[in-house]
Amino acid sequence: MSNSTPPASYYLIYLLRHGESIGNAEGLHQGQKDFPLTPTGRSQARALAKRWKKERMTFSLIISSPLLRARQTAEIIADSLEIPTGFDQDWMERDNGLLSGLRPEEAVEIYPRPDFIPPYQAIGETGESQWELYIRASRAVQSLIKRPPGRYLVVSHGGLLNMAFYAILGIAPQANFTGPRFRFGNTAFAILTYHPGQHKWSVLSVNDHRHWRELDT
Amino acid sequence: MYVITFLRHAESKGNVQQVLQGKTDTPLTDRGIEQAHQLAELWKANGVSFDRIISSPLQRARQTAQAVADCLGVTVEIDPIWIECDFGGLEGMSYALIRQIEPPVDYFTPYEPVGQTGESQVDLFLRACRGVQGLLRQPEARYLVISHGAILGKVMYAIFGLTPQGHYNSPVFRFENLSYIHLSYLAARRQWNFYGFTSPALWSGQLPEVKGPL
Repeated sequence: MSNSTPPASYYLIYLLRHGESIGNAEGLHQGQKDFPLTPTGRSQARALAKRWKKERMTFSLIISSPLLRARQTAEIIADSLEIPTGFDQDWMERDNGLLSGLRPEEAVEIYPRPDFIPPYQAIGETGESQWELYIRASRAVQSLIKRPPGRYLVVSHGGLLNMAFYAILGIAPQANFTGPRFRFGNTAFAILTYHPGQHKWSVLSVNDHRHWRELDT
Repeated sequence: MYVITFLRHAESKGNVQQVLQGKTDTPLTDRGIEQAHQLAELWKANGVSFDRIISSPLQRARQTAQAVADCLGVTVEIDPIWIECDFGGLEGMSYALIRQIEPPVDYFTPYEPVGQTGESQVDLFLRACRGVQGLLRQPEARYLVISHGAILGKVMYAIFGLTPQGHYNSPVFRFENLSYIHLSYLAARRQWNFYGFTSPALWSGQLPEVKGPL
């Protein structure tokens, strides 16, 4: 199949995590706190845009989380590949309540990790529980599938993309965060297809970030 | 911590002939042998190493395992638990013929044996569960397991806690020749970490071919 031919009857979906943000570089709990990309993060996004341009990649639409680190990643790719971008708040990162913007050692001191955390318990007192995040990710996936079949690039965040994978594969959130974790590097992506006629999801690759080898300075 | 890489074998004669292989034992093609050596060299160049290499007893897996093992200086262990799905009466048939004699049905349950006498989705899933459990009863180490597309798909189910749904609508992990999945497992927290799923098509910068529904 040529990369420029949009599939007519099914969905080809790329799930992309944003480039390195200031919050990532400083090792902070980010949540919905709005950090921009670092120069490295921009370079990662440019390397990916260059890679996809070389591969003649195209998408019908880019759907991005409105948070800066995702939006800036989406813009760099959209400008390079000349693809329209829309925003959907459901692809935003987890609301981690009062943990937002804290360093991990501060967070542990103020909110010591309990021995047991049910999946329904809010994190950081006012944040989203694992279930709430799972429900939001499921809604984000459903909204995507309510669009016509085509090639979509979603630019989102590690926590939310994990729950999108749960929604797609049929995994329920577990207590104590013991469910499987999908580790996405900055600007790493997964490729999936969805055939609505059979309600069939296929996973083609996960955590691809080969373009890291081609970072400019 | 366990670090486990599950690898599908390189191109076999059966792959080229487009037949459903299952337990049918065909060797690698020359190209398959070359692919396996390339992967081994790529891993060696990138400092990848394994403490133990475990393979399905079928030739296409064993030859792939041997190429990697020779390059990285590890011995190959054989474990029949990692053999491919038994496709019963469909074994060795071409995909074209299977499409003719087994047209898509409105519904099938996960309990129905494939090709009348083969393994059902549940049989395959239970075998994959035993395979994973067997591995996690071994000491913590870096493992490479060389196996096959259908059984590795169910290994993913065992790891993620999914059960086969029957019909066509269970999610699928599409393993190309030499696709591999890289995971870690923290026993004390029962925590699986999924670090990547990639195929040779992606190493060369090309997309894997997107195929229609099965």
